[in-house]
Amino acid sequence: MTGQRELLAAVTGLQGGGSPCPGVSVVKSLLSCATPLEIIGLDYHALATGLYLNHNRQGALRAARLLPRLDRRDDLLARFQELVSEFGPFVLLPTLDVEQPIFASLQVELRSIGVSTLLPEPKAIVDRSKRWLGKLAAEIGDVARFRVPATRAIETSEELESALLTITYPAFVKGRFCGAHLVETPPAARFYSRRLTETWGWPLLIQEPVAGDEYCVVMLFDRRSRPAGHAVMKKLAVTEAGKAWAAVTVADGTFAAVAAQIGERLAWRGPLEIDMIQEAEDRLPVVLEVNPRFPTWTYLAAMAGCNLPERAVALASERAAADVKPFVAGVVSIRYFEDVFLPFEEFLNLASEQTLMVGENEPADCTHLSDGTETEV
Amino acid sequence: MTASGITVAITGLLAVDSPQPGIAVARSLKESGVAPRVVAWEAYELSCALGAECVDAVYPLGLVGKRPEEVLEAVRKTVAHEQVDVLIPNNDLDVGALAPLGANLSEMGISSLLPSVSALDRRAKSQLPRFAAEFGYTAPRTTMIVDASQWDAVRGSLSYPMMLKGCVCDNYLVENPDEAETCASRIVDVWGYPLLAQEVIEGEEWAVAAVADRASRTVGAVAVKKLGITEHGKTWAAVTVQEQQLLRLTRLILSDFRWVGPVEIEFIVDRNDVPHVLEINPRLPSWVQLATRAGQNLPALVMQLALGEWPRPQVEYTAGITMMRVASDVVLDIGTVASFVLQCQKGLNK
Repeated sequence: MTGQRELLAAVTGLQGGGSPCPGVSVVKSLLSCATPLEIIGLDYHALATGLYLNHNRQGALRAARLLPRLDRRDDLLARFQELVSEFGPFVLLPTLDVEQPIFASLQVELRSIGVSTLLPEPKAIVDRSKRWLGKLAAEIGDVARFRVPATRAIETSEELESALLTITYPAFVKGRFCGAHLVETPPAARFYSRRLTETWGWPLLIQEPVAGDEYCVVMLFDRRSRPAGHAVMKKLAVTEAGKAWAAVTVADGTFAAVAAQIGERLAWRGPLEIDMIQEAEDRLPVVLEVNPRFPTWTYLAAMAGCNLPERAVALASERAAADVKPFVAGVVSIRYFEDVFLPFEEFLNLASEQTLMVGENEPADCTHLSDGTETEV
Repeated sequence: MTASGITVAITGLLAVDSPQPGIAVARSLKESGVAPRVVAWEAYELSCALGAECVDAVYPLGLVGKRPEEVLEAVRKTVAHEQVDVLIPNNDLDVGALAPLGANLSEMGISSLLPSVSALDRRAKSQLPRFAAEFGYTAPRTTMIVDASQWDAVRGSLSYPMMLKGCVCDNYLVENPDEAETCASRIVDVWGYPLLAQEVIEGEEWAVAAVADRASRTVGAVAVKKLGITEHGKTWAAVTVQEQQLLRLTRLILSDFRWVGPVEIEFIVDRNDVPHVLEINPRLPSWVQLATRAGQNLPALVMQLALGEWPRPQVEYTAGITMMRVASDVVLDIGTVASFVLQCQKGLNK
């Protein structure tokens, strides 16, 4: 025995209903890892279904707790202080896009109260945003051998109206944090733009569509921005919103090389997911998005032998850990679901805790997750 | 072969953002006392059934888009590899394809519990408002649009916001004629006409899953309140409730519509406590395992009735059981998928 206490990791983003957030995939990866550790499930909403995983897998979570709104930084720090008092120091793995700028800006304060993270500086999160991706490509695209699709950031509905008359169709409209729709006409663009901006606010992104096979890389970077493990998958089937519901791990060094150079240039720490398309004609990788978090397919990577959340916990807590093994190609994941059953009182118990934390009459949608600052994503 | 010696074939296994009910039906069957062998008849090569714990074998077989004789031929080829005792289709289109073929299936030794073609027509989204009115139920006002020229004529004069629905699937809340045009073209591209323009009813969403015997008597029914739904109205969180008004309406509807087999009836209850019948779906819902955990195993009832048994009608169940759906993945070696694709009709025995 080393005498070390069992590790404790808190994972956020546990909504598993509809189009899932990445948290459950991260939890499942940690549950399958060799390191003895316990997990706290965190979310902002009592209807986040992953909070109730214990009812299917006894002991999966040591506890499930709710967090206050992200724009209430003092409340957030106070809540983490409470959690440390209740459970002791832990590693925080936030998995939502909207959380990253907030927690990145709080990492020093969090550390001082016993919450370790593996997060980049806030500026790195801005630099990899859809809006600034073009600048990144201009700087290192030639060397790193990738390009980005033409992307335009739209700030207001007036600007959108004039843009809709001049852009080339079909085009992708994308939300500030989430959501992508291929549109062929101005009314279609208007329809999805309204929905995306209602949920995620401005800017809205309009992006050139690129034809070719879609690949994703997840790569973890250590505190010195060195790659500390990665996996690559090819999307086999996607939902209407472009999310993969079936994927296969593939051995291809090209995409990993691009990811490593992007991470290095951004001085990244922590997990990074990069969505790419291999263009049918010149085979050059086109970087669509650089997401500042673990993806929803993290568990596929873990099952392919590359458990990045386990490694992230070790790096965040500065414990020695063996290097991550290379992932195995040819592992397939297909979307499925678990139904968790529980007495209604348990939901109410957590929901009433939320009422205390979030305040009554708050909208139950995603907009409150937006930080309300000028942070660009 | 399981201890019971009974084999049930299921369809409708796609488990993407709005999962089809097949997996939940299979799980309930496995939880029943009979615990039959469950084989999946799967239309997609990338099937979660290949890794699902509740499915014993997977056979490639899609029913949609086939003429009746082609459906029968495909079924015949599949049961040549493994005979099944009962067939439970779990998506609307499969039920439509099989409803006229109950007697033919029976000749092949396959029992089923399917509605008649006329009952199926009465609950069709395009027909429901008419029959609901005829039988005295409240349903949202609905305009049926049969072709593009009618759509162009009425689009500007409809009252907004409204729900725009496809004849089989898909619905969008639209705010104005421009949005309606966008969504109409998306729906028509996939499902064709008719298109349904439906009044929006403000209220809470409820649903009842039920099973009717061959005399259209309700032998099981469980009501839920929806807690979490996707933007397309699919339930991912729900709680069982003892809502007598909806359960009574369900019994009446199944009798009036001369329904046979499993069904999901969706209601919106407005602020005056009036229930509006939104949809009658000709199959069990994907939340059906919630009914099982609350005390009524509806898929098992379907199996028993299909086999000609006379199960005791079930009335009791526990209110307050809550379901939370967690999206997940089955993880497989690519060789498993390849075997399924390459072995063609032989299927994959697990």
